[in-house]
Amino acid sequence: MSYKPDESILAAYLYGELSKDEQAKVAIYLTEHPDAKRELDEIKSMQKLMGKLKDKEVTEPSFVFENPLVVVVSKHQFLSRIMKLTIGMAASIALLLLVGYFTELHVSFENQTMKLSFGDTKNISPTDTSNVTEDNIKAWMQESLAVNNQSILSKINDVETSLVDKVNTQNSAHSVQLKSMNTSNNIDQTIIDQYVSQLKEENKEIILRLVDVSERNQQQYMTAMMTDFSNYLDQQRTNDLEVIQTSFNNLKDNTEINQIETNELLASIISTVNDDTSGQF
Amino acid sequence: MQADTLLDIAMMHADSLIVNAQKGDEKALNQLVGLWYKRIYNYVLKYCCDQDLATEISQKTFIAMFRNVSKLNDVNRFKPWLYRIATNFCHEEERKKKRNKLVSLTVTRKDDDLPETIDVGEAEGNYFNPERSYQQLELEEALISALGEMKEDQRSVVIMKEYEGLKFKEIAEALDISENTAKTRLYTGLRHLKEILKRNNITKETVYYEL
Repeated sequence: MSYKPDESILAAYLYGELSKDEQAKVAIYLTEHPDAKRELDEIKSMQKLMGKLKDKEVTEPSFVFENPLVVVVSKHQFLSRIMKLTIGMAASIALLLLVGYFTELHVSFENQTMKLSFGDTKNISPTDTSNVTEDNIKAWMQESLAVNNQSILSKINDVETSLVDKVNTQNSAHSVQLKSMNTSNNIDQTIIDQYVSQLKEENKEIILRLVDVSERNQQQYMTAMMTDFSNYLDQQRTNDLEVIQTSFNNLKDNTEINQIETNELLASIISTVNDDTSGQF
Repeated sequence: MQADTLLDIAMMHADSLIVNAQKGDEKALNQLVGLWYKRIYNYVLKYCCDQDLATEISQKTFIAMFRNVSKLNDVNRFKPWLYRIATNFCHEEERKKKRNKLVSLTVTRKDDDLPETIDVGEAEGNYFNPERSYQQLELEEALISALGEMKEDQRSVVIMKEYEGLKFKEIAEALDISENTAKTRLYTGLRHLKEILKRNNITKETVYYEL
Protein backbone atom coordinates (compact mmCIF):
# COMPACT_ATOMS: atom_id res chain seq x y z
CA MET A 1 0.00 0.00 0.00
CA SER A 2 1.49 3.33 -0.98
CA TYR A 3 0.12 6.45 0.66
CA LYS A 4 0.88 9.76 -1.03
CA PRO A 5 -0.57 12.94 0.43
CA ASP A 6 -1.76 15.39 -2.21
CA GLU A 7 -1.01 19.10 -2.18
CA SER A 8 -4.16 20.02 -0.28
CA ILE A 9 -3.23 17.63 2.53
CA LEU A 10 0.33 18.94 2.59
CA ALA A 11 -1.02 22.51 2.82
CA ALA A 12 -3.24 21.56 5.76
CA TYR A 13 -0.24 19.75 7.31
CA LEU A 14 1.86 22.91 7.01
CA TYR A 15 -0.70 24.85 9.05
CA GLY A 16 -1.41 22.00 11.48
CA GLU A 17 -5.01 21.73 10.33
CA LEU A 18 -5.11 17.93 9.91
CA SER A 19 -6.64 15.32 12.16
CA LYS A 20 -4.17 13.45 14.37
CA ASP A 21 -4.40 10.29 12.25
CA GLU A 22 -3.72 12.11 9.04
CA GLN A 23 -0.97 14.14 10.65
CA ALA A 24 0.77 10.92 11.70
CA LYS A 25 0.33 9.43 8.23
CA VAL A 26 1.94 12.45 6.60
CA ALA A 27 4.75 12.41 9.16
CA ILE A 28 5.50 8.76 8.33
CA TYR A 29 5.34 9.51 4.61
CA LEU A 30 7.82 12.35 5.08
CA THR A 31 10.31 10.16 6.93
CA GLU A 32 10.12 7.69 4.05
CA HIS A 33 10.39 10.35 1.35
CA PRO A 34 13.27 12.72 2.05
CA ASP A 35 12.61 14.68 -1.16
CA ALA A 36 9.11 15.58 -0.04
CA LYS A 37 10.42 16.42 3.42
CA ARG A 38 13.11 18.67 1.97
CA GLU A 39 10.53 20.55 -0.09
CA LEU A 40 8.32 21.00 2.95
CA ASP A 41 11.29 22.19 5.04
CA GLU A 42 12.21 24.67 2.35
CA ILE A 43 8.67 25.99 2.29
CA LYS A 44 8.70 26.29 6.08
CA SER A 45 11.94 28.29 6.07
CA MET A 46 10.50 30.45 3.30
CA GLN A 47 7.44 31.09 5.47
CA LYS A 48 9.77 32.38 8.16
CA LEU A 49 11.33 34.68 5.61
CA MET A 50 7.89 35.86 4.51
CA GLY A 51 7.21 36.73 8.14
CA LYS A 52 9.76 39.53 7.72
CA LEU A 53 7.22 41.38 5.62
CA LYS A 54 5.46 43.30 8.37
CA ASP A 55 2.18 45.16 8.19
CA LYS A 56 2.37 48.80 7.26
CA GLU A 57 0.92 51.14 9.82
CA VAL A 58 -1.91 53.13 8.30
CA THR A 59 -4.42 55.64 9.59
CA GLU A 60 -7.88 54.93 8.38
CA PRO A 61 -9.78 57.75 6.70
CA SER A 62 -13.08 58.76 8.21
CA PHE A 63 -16.12 58.47 6.01
CA VAL A 64 -18.85 61.06 5.92
CA PHE A 65 -22.34 59.97 4.94
CA GLU A 66 -24.31 62.58 3.07
CA ASN A 67 -27.21 60.23 2.72
CA PRO A 68 -27.39 56.46 3.15
CA LEU A 69 -26.13 55.81 -0.36
CA VAL A 70 -23.59 58.56 -0.94
CA VAL A 71 -20.36 58.20 0.96
CA VAL A 72 -17.55 60.72 0.87
CA VAL A 73 -14.06 59.98 2.01
CA SER A 74 -12.96 62.95 4.01
CA LYS A 75 -9.53 64.19 3.20
CA HIS A 76 -9.05 65.53 6.68
CA GLN A 77 -5.36 64.84 6.64
CA PHE A 78 -4.79 66.79 3.47
CA LEU A 79 -7.02 69.63 4.71
CA SER A 80 -5.28 69.74 8.03
CA ARG A 81 -1.96 70.02 6.25
CA ILE A 82 -3.17 72.99 4.21
CA MET A 83 -4.63 74.54 7.35
CA LYS A 84 -1.35 74.10 9.17
CA LEU A 85 0.53 75.69 6.31
CA THR A 86 -1.81 78.69 6.11
CA ILE A 87 -1.85 79.24 9.85
CA GLY A 88 1.92 78.97 9.92
CA MET A 89 2.31 81.54 7.16
CA ALA A 90 -0.19 83.91 8.79
CA ALA A 91 1.56 83.58 12.13
CA SER A 92 4.97 84.34 10.63
CA ILE A 93 3.63 87.40 8.80
CA ALA A 94 1.99 88.61 12.02
CA LEU A 95 5.26 88.08 13.87
CA LEU A 96 7.17 90.05 11.24
CA LEU A 97 4.69 92.92 11.48
CA LEU A 98 4.88 92.88 15.26
CA VAL A 99 8.67 92.90 15.28
CA GLY A 100 8.66 95.70 12.72
CA TYR A 101 6.27 97.70 14.90
CA PHE A 102 8.28 97.30 18.10
CA THR A 103 11.63 98.01 16.52
CA GLU A 104 10.13 101.01 14.69
CA LEU A 105 11.32 99.77 11.36
CA HIS A 106 11.09 102.26 8.54
CA VAL A 107 11.55 101.36 4.98
CA SER A 108 11.37 104.01 2.30
CA PHE A 109 12.29 104.12 -1.32
CA GLU A 110 12.84 107.41 -3.05
CA ASN A 111 15.18 108.87 -5.69
CA GLN A 112 16.64 105.44 -6.47
CA THR A 113 17.75 104.96 -2.86
CA MET A 114 16.31 102.57 -0.31
CA LYS A 115 16.35 103.65 3.29
CA LEU A 116 16.12 101.09 6.06
CA SER A 117 16.12 102.38 9.61
CA PHE A 118 15.14 101.48 13.14
CA GLY A 119 13.79 104.06 15.57
CA ASP A 120 13.59 107.74 14.68
CA THR A 121 14.29 108.54 11.11
CA LYS A 122 17.26 110.80 10.54
CA ASN A 123 17.82 112.59 7.35
CA ILE A 124 21.05 111.20 6.16
CA SER A 125 21.86 112.15 2.67
CA PRO A 126 23.05 109.27 0.65
CA THR A 127 26.78 109.17 0.11
CA ASP A 128 27.99 111.34 -2.66
CA THR A 129 28.84 109.17 -5.56
CA SER A 130 30.08 111.89 -7.91
CA ASN A 131 33.76 111.17 -7.24
CA VAL A 132 33.36 107.46 -7.89
CA THR A 133 35.06 107.33 -11.26
CA GLU A 134 37.17 104.65 -12.83
CA ASP A 135 40.41 106.60 -12.26
CA ASN A 136 39.53 107.24 -8.66
CA ILE A 137 38.79 103.60 -8.05
CA LYS A 138 42.08 102.64 -9.68
CA ALA A 139 43.94 105.12 -7.53
CA TRP A 140 42.20 103.81 -4.36
CA MET A 141 42.95 100.29 -5.32
CA GLN A 142 46.59 101.07 -5.97
CA GLU A 143 46.81 102.94 -2.70
CA SER A 144 45.32 100.10 -0.76
CA LEU A 145 47.44 97.59 -2.68
CA ALA A 146 50.57 99.61 -1.85
CA VAL A 147 49.61 99.66 1.83
CA ASN A 148 48.87 95.96 1.66
CA ASN A 149 52.18 95.22 -0.11
CA GLN A 150 54.00 97.30 2.46
CA SER A 151 52.51 95.38 5.32
CA ILE A 152 53.17 92.06 3.58
CA LEU A 153 56.78 93.06 2.92
CA SER A 154 57.31 94.04 6.53
CA LYS A 155 55.78 90.73 7.61
CA ILE A 156 58.03 88.85 5.20
CA ASN A 157 61.05 90.71 6.56
CA ASP A 158 60.07 89.86 10.08
CA VAL A 159 59.67 86.23 9.18
CA GLU A 160 63.00 86.26 7.33
CA THR A 161 64.92 87.74 10.25
CA SER A 162 63.34 85.32 12.66
CA LEU A 163 64.19 82.43 10.33
CA VAL A 164 67.81 83.59 9.96
CA ASP A 165 68.08 83.84 13.73
CA LYS A 166 66.70 80.38 14.15
CA VAL A 167 69.03 78.95 11.52
CA ASN A 168 72.03 80.63 13.15
CA THR A 169 71.22 79.33 16.60
CA GLN A 170 70.61 75.93 15.12
CA ASN A 171 73.97 76.04 13.28
CA SER A 172 75.90 77.05 16.39
CA ALA A 173 74.22 74.24 18.32
CA HIS A 174 75.18 71.82 15.59
CA SER A 175 78.84 73.01 15.49
CA VAL A 176 79.11 72.59 19.26
CA GLN A 177 77.72 69.12 18.90
CA LEU A 178 80.15 68.33 16.09
CA LYS A 179 83.12 69.53 18.16
CA SER A 180 82.14 67.39 21.08
CA MET A 181 81.78 64.48 18.70
CA ASN A 182 85.31 65.13 17.30
CA THR A 183 86.95 65.10 20.73
CA SER A 184 85.23 61.89 21.54
CA ASN A 185 86.59 60.53 18.25
CA ASN A 186 90.23 61.35 19.28
CA ILE A 187 89.86 59.52 22.51
CA ASP A 188 88.61 56.59 20.60
CA GLN A 189 91.68 56.64 18.31
CA THR A 190 94.21 56.45 21.16
CA ILE A 191 92.27 53.68 22.82
CA ILE A 192 92.26 51.76 19.57
CA ASP A 193 96.02 52.29 19.13
CA GLN A 194 96.67 51.03 22.64
CA TYR A 195 94.43 48.11 22.08
CA VAL A 196 96.14 47.26 18.78
CA SER A 197 99.65 47.46 20.26
CA GLN A 198 98.54 45.31 23.17
CA LEU A 199 97.14 42.81 20.72
CA LYS A 200 100.38 42.87 18.72
CA GLU A 201 102.45 42.16 21.80
CA GLU A 202 100.20 39.39 22.85
CA ASN A 203 100.40 37.88 19.39
CA LYS A 204 104.17 38.16 19.37
CA GLU A 205 104.42 36.35 22.70
CA ILE A 206 102.11 33.63 21.54
CA ILE A 207 104.08 33.13 18.32
CA LEU A 208 107.42 33.09 20.13
CA ARG A 209 106.13 30.52 22.57
CA LEU A 210 104.79 28.48 19.73
CA VAL A 211 108.12 28.55 17.86
CA ASP A 212 109.99 27.62 21.01
CA VAL A 213 107.74 24.69 21.74
CA SER A 214 107.83 23.47 18.15
CA GLU A 215 111.66 23.68 18.03
CA ARG A 216 111.92 21.65 21.18
CA ASN A 217 109.54 19.08 19.80
CA GLN A 218 111.46 18.91 16.58
CA GLN A 219 114.79 18.39 18.35
CA GLN A 220 113.32 15.60 20.44
CA TYR A 221 111.89 14.05 17.38
CA MET A 222 115.18 14.34 15.45
CA THR A 223 117.28 12.77 18.21
CA ALA A 224 114.75 9.97 18.56
CA MET A 225 114.86 9.44 14.84
CA MET A 226 118.71 9.43 14.71
CA THR A 227 119.03 6.83 17.47
CA ASP A 228 116.36 4.77 15.81
CA PHE A 229 118.24 4.97 12.52
CA SER A 230 121.60 3.94 14.08
CA ASN A 231 119.90 1.02 15.82
CA TYR A 232 118.40 0.03 12.55
CA LEU A 233 121.77 0.22 10.80
CA ASP A 234 123.44 -1.93 13.49
CA GLN A 235 120.70 -4.49 13.27
CA GLN A 236 120.97 -4.52 9.52
CA ARG A 237 124.77 -5.04 9.65
CA THR A 238 124.54 -7.92 12.14
CA ASN A 239 121.82 -9.46 10.02
CA ASP A 240 123.96 -9.15 6.90
CA LEU A 241 126.95 -10.61 8.68
CA GLU A 242 124.89 -13.53 9.87
CA VAL A 243 123.64 -14.10 6.35
CA ILE A 244 127.20 -14.04 4.99
CA GLN A 245 128.34 -16.41 7.75
CA THR A 246 125.65 -18.91 6.99
CA SER A 247 126.27 -18.73 3.26
CA PHE A 248 130.00 -19.30 3.91
CA ASN A 249 129.12 -22.27 6.12
CA ASN A 250 126.89 -23.65 3.42
CA LEU A 251 129.64 -23.26 0.86
CA LYS A 252 132.08 -25.00 3.18
CA ASP A 253 129.68 -27.87 3.74
CA ASN A 254 129.04 -28.23 0.06
CA THR A 255 132.76 -28.33 -0.81
CA GLU A 256 133.31 -30.91 1.86
CA ILE A 257 130.51 -33.06 0.52
CA ASN A 258 131.84 -32.61 -3.00
CA GLN A 259 135.34 -33.65 -1.81
CA ILE A 260 133.94 -36.77 -0.21
CA GLU A 261 131.88 -37.60 -3.26
CA THR A 262 134.83 -37.17 -5.63
CA ASN A 263 136.95 -39.25 -3.33
CA GLU A 264 134.37 -41.98 -3.34
CA LEU A 265 134.02 -41.73 -7.07
CA LEU A 266 137.77 -41.91 -7.54
CA ALA A 267 137.92 -44.91 -5.27
CA SER A 268 135.21 -46.70 -7.21
CA ILE A 269 136.91 -45.89 -10.52
CA ILE A 270 140.21 -47.16 -9.24
CA SER A 271 138.60 -50.36 -7.96
CA THR A 272 136.82 -51.03 -11.26
CA VAL A 273 139.96 -50.29 -13.21
CA ASN A 274 141.83 -52.71 -10.99
CA ASP A 275 139.19 -55.40 -11.43
CA ASP A 276 139.26 -55.01 -15.24
CA THR A 277 142.99 -55.27 -15.54
CA SER A 278 143.23 -58.31 -13.33
CA GLY A 279 140.55 -60.07 -15.35
CA GLN A 280 142.42 -59.48 -18.70
CA PHE A 281 145.65 -60.77 -17.39
CA MET B 1 -17.24 31.29 16.80
CA GLN B 2 -13.96 30.15 18.34
CA ALA B 3 -11.81 32.84 19.90
CA ASP B 4 -8.30 32.11 18.61
CA THR B 5 -6.81 35.55 18.52
CA LEU B 6 -7.40 38.96 19.96
CA LEU B 7 -8.70 39.94 16.58
CA ASP B 8 -11.29 37.17 16.76
CA ILE B 9 -12.43 38.40 20.18
CA ALA B 10 -12.71 41.88 18.77
CA MET B 11 -14.62 40.45 15.83
CA MET B 12 -17.11 38.78 18.17
CA HIS B 13 -17.83 42.17 19.66
CA ALA B 14 -17.94 43.48 16.15
CA ASP B 15 -20.94 41.31 15.39
CA SER B 16 -23.18 43.83 17.08
CA LEU B 17 -21.34 46.58 15.18
CA ILE B 18 -22.19 44.84 11.90
CA VAL B 19 -25.82 44.55 12.91
CA ASN B 20 -25.92 48.26 13.75
CA ALA B 21 -24.10 49.12 10.52
CA GLN B 22 -26.68 47.14 8.59
CA LYS B 23 -29.24 49.48 10.12
CA GLY B 24 -27.29 52.44 8.71
CA ASP B 25 -25.59 53.56 11.93
CA GLU B 26 -22.78 55.91 10.80
CA LYS B 27 -20.81 55.49 14.01
CA ALA B 28 -20.93 51.70 13.73
CA LEU B 29 -19.86 51.92 10.09
CA ASN B 30 -16.84 54.08 10.95
CA GLN B 31 -15.96 51.74 13.84
CA LEU B 32 -15.98 48.85 11.37
CA VAL B 33 -13.55 50.84 9.24
CA GLY B 34 -11.36 51.32 12.31
CA LEU B 35 -11.39 47.57 12.93
CA TRP B 36 -10.73 46.43 9.39
CA TYR B 37 -8.99 49.21 7.47
CA LYS B 38 -5.44 48.23 8.40
CA ARG B 39 -6.04 44.57 7.52
CA ILE B 40 -7.65 45.30 4.18
CA TYR B 41 -5.05 47.94 3.30
CA ASN B 42 -2.16 45.55 4.02
CA TYR B 43 -3.86 42.73 2.14
CA VAL B 44 -4.35 44.93 -0.90
CA LEU B 45 -0.86 46.41 -0.63
CA LYS B 46 0.69 42.94 -0.78
CA TYR B 47 -1.61 42.05 -3.65
CA CYS B 48 -1.04 45.07 -5.89
CA CYS B 49 2.42 46.26 -4.74
CA ASP B 50 1.44 49.93 -4.87
CA GLN B 51 0.70 52.12 -1.87
CA ASP B 52 -1.45 54.68 -3.69
CA LEU B 53 -3.45 51.95 -5.36
CA ALA B 54 -3.78 50.12 -2.05
CA THR B 55 -5.26 53.26 -0.46
CA GLU B 56 -7.65 53.71 -3.38
CA ILE B 57 -8.79 50.08 -3.40
CA SER B 58 -9.19 50.03 0.40
CA GLN B 59 -11.39 53.10 0.26
CA LYS B 60 -13.43 51.61 -2.58
CA THR B 61 -13.79 48.38 -0.60
CA PHE B 62 -15.24 50.19 2.41
CA ILE B 63 -17.54 52.31 0.31
CA ALA B 64 -18.81 49.07 -1.27
CA MET B 65 -19.16 47.62 2.22
CA PHE B 66 -21.33 50.58 3.36
CA ARG B 67 -23.57 50.17 0.35
CA ASN B 68 -23.97 46.42 0.59
CA VAL B 69 -23.61 45.48 4.24
CA SER B 70 -27.36 45.53 4.67
CA LYS B 71 -27.58 42.72 2.10
CA LEU B 72 -25.27 40.45 4.12
CA ASN B 73 -27.40 37.64 5.53
CA ASP B 74 -24.98 35.95 7.91
CA VAL B 75 -23.00 38.26 10.21
CA ASN B 76 -20.40 35.52 10.72
CA ARG B 77 -19.52 35.67 7.06
CA PHE B 78 -18.55 39.34 7.19
CA LYS B 79 -14.79 38.66 7.14
CA PRO B 80 -14.62 36.51 3.96
CA TRP B 81 -17.22 38.79 2.39
CA LEU B 82 -15.05 41.88 3.01
CA TYR B 83 -11.95 40.12 1.64
CA ARG B 84 -13.99 39.07 -1.36
CA ILE B 85 -14.89 42.69 -2.13
CA ALA B 86 -11.27 43.73 -1.77
CA THR B 87 -10.06 40.85 -3.95
CA ASN B 88 -12.62 41.73 -6.65
CA PHE B 89 -11.34 45.32 -6.75
CA CYS B 90 -7.78 44.01 -6.88
CA HIS B 91 -8.67 41.77 -9.84
CA GLU B 92 -10.33 44.71 -11.55
CA GLU B 93 -7.24 46.89 -11.12
CA GLU B 94 -5.02 44.05 -12.30
CA ARG B 95 -7.12 43.72 -15.45
CA LYS B 96 -6.94 47.48 -16.04
CA LYS B 97 -3.17 47.34 -15.66
CA LYS B 98 -2.92 44.53 -18.16
CA ARG B 99 -5.15 46.39 -20.60
CA ASN B 100 -2.97 49.47 -20.31
CA LYS B 101 0.14 47.32 -20.58
CA LEU B 102 1.50 48.86 -17.45
CA VAL B 103 2.40 45.69 -15.67
CA SER B 104 4.90 46.59 -13.03
CA LEU B 105 6.68 43.75 -11.32
CA THR B 106 8.83 45.91 -9.14
CA VAL B 107 7.67 48.09 -6.33
CA THR B 108 8.36 51.75 -6.74
CA ARG B 109 8.99 53.27 -3.37
CA LYS B 110 7.79 56.82 -2.98
CA ASP B 111 9.61 58.38 -0.11
CA ASP B 112 7.64 61.57 -0.03
CA ASP B 113 3.97 62.43 -0.06
CA LEU B 114 2.83 59.25 1.68
CA PRO B 115 1.29 60.52 4.89
CA GLU B 116 -0.83 57.42 5.43
CA THR B 117 2.02 54.98 5.96
CA ILE B 118 4.75 54.81 8.51
CA ASP B 119 7.65 52.47 7.81
CA VAL B 120 8.15 49.83 10.46
CA GLY B 121 11.80 50.78 10.92
CA GLU B 122 10.88 54.33 11.83
CA ALA B 123 8.20 53.15 14.21
CA GLU B 124 10.66 51.01 16.18
CA GLY B 125 11.61 53.95 18.34
CA ASN B 126 14.61 53.51 20.63
CA TYR B 127 16.29 50.77 18.66
CA PHE B 128 15.99 52.41 15.28
CA ASN B 129 19.00 51.43 13.19
CA PRO B 130 19.03 53.14 9.78
CA GLU B 131 21.09 50.46 7.99
CA ARG B 132 19.04 47.61 9.36
CA SER B 133 15.88 49.51 8.65
CA TYR B 134 17.01 50.06 5.08
CA GLN B 135 17.80 46.36 4.65
CA GLN B 136 14.42 45.51 6.14
CA LEU B 137 12.82 47.87 3.65
CA GLU B 138 14.75 46.26 0.79
CA LEU B 139 13.72 42.79 1.91
CA GLU B 140 10.09 43.89 2.19
CA GLU B 141 10.22 45.30 -1.31
CA ALA B 142 11.79 42.11 -2.62
CA LEU B 143 9.10 40.01 -0.91
CA ILE B 144 6.25 42.19 -2.18
CA SER B 145 7.78 42.09 -5.63
CA ALA B 146 8.02 38.28 -5.45
CA LEU B 147 4.34 38.13 -4.43
CA GLY B 148 3.57 40.31 -7.44
CA GLU B 149 5.23 37.77 -9.72
CA MET B 150 2.82 35.04 -8.59
CA LYS B 151 -0.30 34.02 -10.43
CA GLU B 152 -3.29 36.01 -9.21
CA ASP B 153 -5.33 33.08 -7.90
CA GLN B 154 -2.38 31.69 -5.97
CA ARG B 155 -1.32 35.13 -4.76
CA SER B 156 -4.64 35.92 -3.10
CA VAL B 157 -4.72 32.53 -1.30
CA VAL B 158 -1.11 32.84 -0.11
CA ILE B 159 -1.62 36.38 1.25
CA MET B 160 -4.92 35.47 2.89
CA LYS B 161 -3.44 32.45 4.64
CA GLU B 162 0.10 33.57 5.32
CA TYR B 163 -0.46 37.21 6.27
CA GLU B 164 -4.15 37.53 7.05
CA GLY B 165 -4.48 34.21 8.87
CA LEU B 166 -7.81 33.31 7.30
CA LYS B 167 -9.09 29.78 7.74
CA PHE B 168 -9.26 27.59 4.65
CA LYS B 169 -13.06 27.75 4.93
CA GLU B 170 -12.98 31.54 4.92
CA ILE B 171 -10.59 31.64 1.97
CA ALA B 172 -12.85 29.25 0.07
CA GLU B 173 -15.82 31.50 0.79
CA ALA B 174 -13.96 34.70 -0.11
CA LEU B 175 -12.80 33.32 -3.45
CA ASP B 176 -15.89 31.22 -4.14
CA ILE B 177 -13.89 28.00 -4.51
CA SER B 178 -13.86 24.69 -2.65
CA GLU B 179 -11.76 24.28 0.47
CA ASN B 180 -9.67 21.62 -1.27
CA THR B 181 -8.98 23.92 -4.18
CA ALA B 182 -7.94 26.61 -1.72
CA LYS B 183 -5.48 24.21 -0.07
CA THR B 184 -4.07 23.01 -3.38
CA ARG B 185 -3.69 26.56 -4.64
CA LEU B 186 -1.97 27.53 -1.43
CA TYR B 187 0.54 24.70 -1.64
CA THR B 188 1.32 25.21 -5.32
CA GLY B 189 1.47 28.95 -4.63
CA LEU B 190 4.00 28.50 -1.83
CA ARG B 191 6.05 26.19 -4.02
CA HIS B 192 5.95 28.75 -6.83
CA LEU B 193 6.88 31.59 -4.48
CA LYS B 194 9.81 29.51 -3.22
CA GLU B 195 11.05 29.17 -6.79
CA ILE B 196 10.64 32.92 -7.42
CA LEU B 197 12.57 33.80 -4.27
CA LYS B 198 15.30 31.33 -5.16
CA ARG B 199 15.49 32.78 -8.66
CA ASN B 200 15.77 36.30 -7.22
CA ASN B 201 18.45 35.04 -4.81
CA ILE B 202 16.39 35.80 -1.73
CA THR B 203 16.93 32.83 0.55
CA LYS B 204 17.13 32.46 4.30
CA GLU B 205 20.91 32.37 4.08
CA THR B 206 21.32 35.56 2.03
CA VAL B 207 18.79 37.43 4.11
CA TYR B 208 20.14 36.42 7.51
CA TYR B 209 23.58 37.32 6.27
CA GLU B 210 22.36 40.79 5.53
CA LEU B 211 20.08 41.29 8.53
